[in-house]
Amino acid sequence: MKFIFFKNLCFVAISGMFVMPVYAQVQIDINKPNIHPMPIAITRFINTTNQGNQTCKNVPDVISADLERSGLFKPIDSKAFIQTIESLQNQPNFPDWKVINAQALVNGQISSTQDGQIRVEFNLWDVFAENQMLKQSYTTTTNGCRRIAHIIADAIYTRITGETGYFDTQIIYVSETGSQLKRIKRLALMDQDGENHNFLTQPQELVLTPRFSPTAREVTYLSFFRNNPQVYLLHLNSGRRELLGNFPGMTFAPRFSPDGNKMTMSLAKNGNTNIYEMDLKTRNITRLTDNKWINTGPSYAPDGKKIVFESDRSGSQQLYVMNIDGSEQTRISFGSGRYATPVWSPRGDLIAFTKHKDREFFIGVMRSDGSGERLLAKGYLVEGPSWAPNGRVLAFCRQTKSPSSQSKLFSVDLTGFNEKQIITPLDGSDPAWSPLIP
Amino acid sequence: MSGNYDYKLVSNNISDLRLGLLCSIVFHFTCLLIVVLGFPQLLVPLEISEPVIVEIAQLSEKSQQITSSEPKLPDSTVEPEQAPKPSEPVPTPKPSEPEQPIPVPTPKPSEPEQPIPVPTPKPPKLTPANGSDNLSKMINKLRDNTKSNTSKMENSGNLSEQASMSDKDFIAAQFRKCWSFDPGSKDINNLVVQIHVLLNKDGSVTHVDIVEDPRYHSDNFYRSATDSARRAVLTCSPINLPSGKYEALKDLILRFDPRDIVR
Repeated sequence: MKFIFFKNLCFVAISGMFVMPVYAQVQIDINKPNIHPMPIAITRFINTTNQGNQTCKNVPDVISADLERSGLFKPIDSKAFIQTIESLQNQPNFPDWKVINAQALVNGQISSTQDGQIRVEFNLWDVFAENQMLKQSYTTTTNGCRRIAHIIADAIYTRITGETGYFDTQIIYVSETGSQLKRIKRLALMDQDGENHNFLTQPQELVLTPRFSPTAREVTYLSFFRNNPQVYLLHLNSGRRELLGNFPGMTFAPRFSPDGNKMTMSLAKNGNTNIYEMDLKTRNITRLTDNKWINTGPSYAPDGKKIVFESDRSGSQQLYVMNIDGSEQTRISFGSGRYATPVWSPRGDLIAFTKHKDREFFIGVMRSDGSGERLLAKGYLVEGPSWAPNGRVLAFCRQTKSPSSQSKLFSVDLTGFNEKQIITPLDGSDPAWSPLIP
Repeated sequence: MSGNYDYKLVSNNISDLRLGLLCSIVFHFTCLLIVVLGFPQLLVPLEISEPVIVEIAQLSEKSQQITSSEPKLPDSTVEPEQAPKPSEPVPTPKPSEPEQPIPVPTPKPSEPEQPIPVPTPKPPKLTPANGSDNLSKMINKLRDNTKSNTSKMENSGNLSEQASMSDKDFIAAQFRKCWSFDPGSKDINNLVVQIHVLLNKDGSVTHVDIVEDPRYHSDNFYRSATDSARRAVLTCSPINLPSGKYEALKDLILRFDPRDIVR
């Protein structure tokens, strides 16, 4: 009996092997993705503070505005929300959020700490994967709510895109007003979203080319006071200003090295303009280019080993790259037109520039070897690109034709999408984007 | 006048045609005789072709052993004969194995169904233990079943269950619609991710997991790319499946490749 049973069992097993078809995993390639902003639901934060329910009330709105301005997110109108904010504190009911096609969900609460400060806590949920992506909390004073919102927006942006955020940053620029013949140019500082605007210099002083230090708390700029051009270092926290050098001749385009210990600029002497580097501790100056042409607009690579600059040595303005000691000066721009104001991306992969061709100006990017040139913005006069600290967004200045000539600040994604105006009280030019504020 | 003239012309033409027909028949008959009698070697190759076909039928089964021992076969005749044979083992790899037990079952020639065991010279020595008759019957039955099953699958079912390129494209197009990617991601050429997906019969996703890559925990860009791919799969659920293809498409590896976004 056992043997017969065994035989039958073998028969069934073996016949099963022969009869049942075997299916392997099927690999399918999916390419050409869409470029759509991600729908995200940002709810009102529950407020349990002692100071009243108006405290930090604007935090979700600031987060929402930051993310929407990046062009990568599309906040969903709160009128579409199904789940109540109160019940959301326990656990999201994910089907309610799937119905409105929210791919990510942000909720949070604002509470008081024992020492009188405000604690802001938030959660980021992946709605379709039904898991928590992020949970963080920050403590601040009442005045710091807006900054906390920018920090939270950075955290969300980083978790979802992989990029470092750029919302907790500032932009310094030259604010302009008055007629073209009697133009008043002052330094102005604001948050990247245009809020907290401040003027830093007096109207009598004409300023140019402000640049942040790597710490974001110092700024260099060129000042013409009584027709005497000088390079200053301004400490933003204290407001103290110090003269970096009283250089003979004209001085242009000072810019910090990535470690903040050096600065590079160009000086005009005897009809020649060359690039120099100054050690900020010893104040020693080293000349990096030495020829009869105009060499200017130096910008360090993020690793500090190379400098990109513009020069007319070939007969027209073109971009060149050299080692930090001035050796191996190599031309990298070969397209038609003239190239100027190069700025090396904080990522290190791209160089932004201003291009002039066929009576039009362009803002563009190219790889550090000059390949892959792409033009991102154009206009009657667009110039002065400056990278956001994540190397993802550029700020620049756009001037319209006279007689209604206006100069405004804009930002554009490095893909060329999502150009937006940065609102300023007056005209603006020569923007410089700060690193993340420490 | 003109009518008589036409009649003469027609009669002359007919006599000319008869003469031409006769000449043509004679000419063709002569040619045929010359071909048959004058070039008899043209008929010889017909006799050669018969043994070649039989030899090659065995060659295909044990090709590695025989190729060295039979170099005298002309290549030109081997190649055309091999073409039809490989089609047999392709649909199911298993049927080739049952050929091995074939020498076993023939102690009794009572079963007329077995054509192949005839050449085996040593069947008596291989008689195994008790009950081997039944076992051999079962195996033969099994073989018959297998043949009938495979033939059925060839004819209708199995081939239609295979995932074709158009089936894959059909699936890919649906997931592509749900997939959004940031074109400004750094190092986009290095962000191809793979997602393992199991489907229900109604096309809903029952299981999604990321094909293991240590970069998920160390590379923020890679993690974001992977999350966006997984999100696309979950957002798309349920998808439409090609009819009759569930078995072939229920277990998928989706390879999300964003590089085209910048080309």
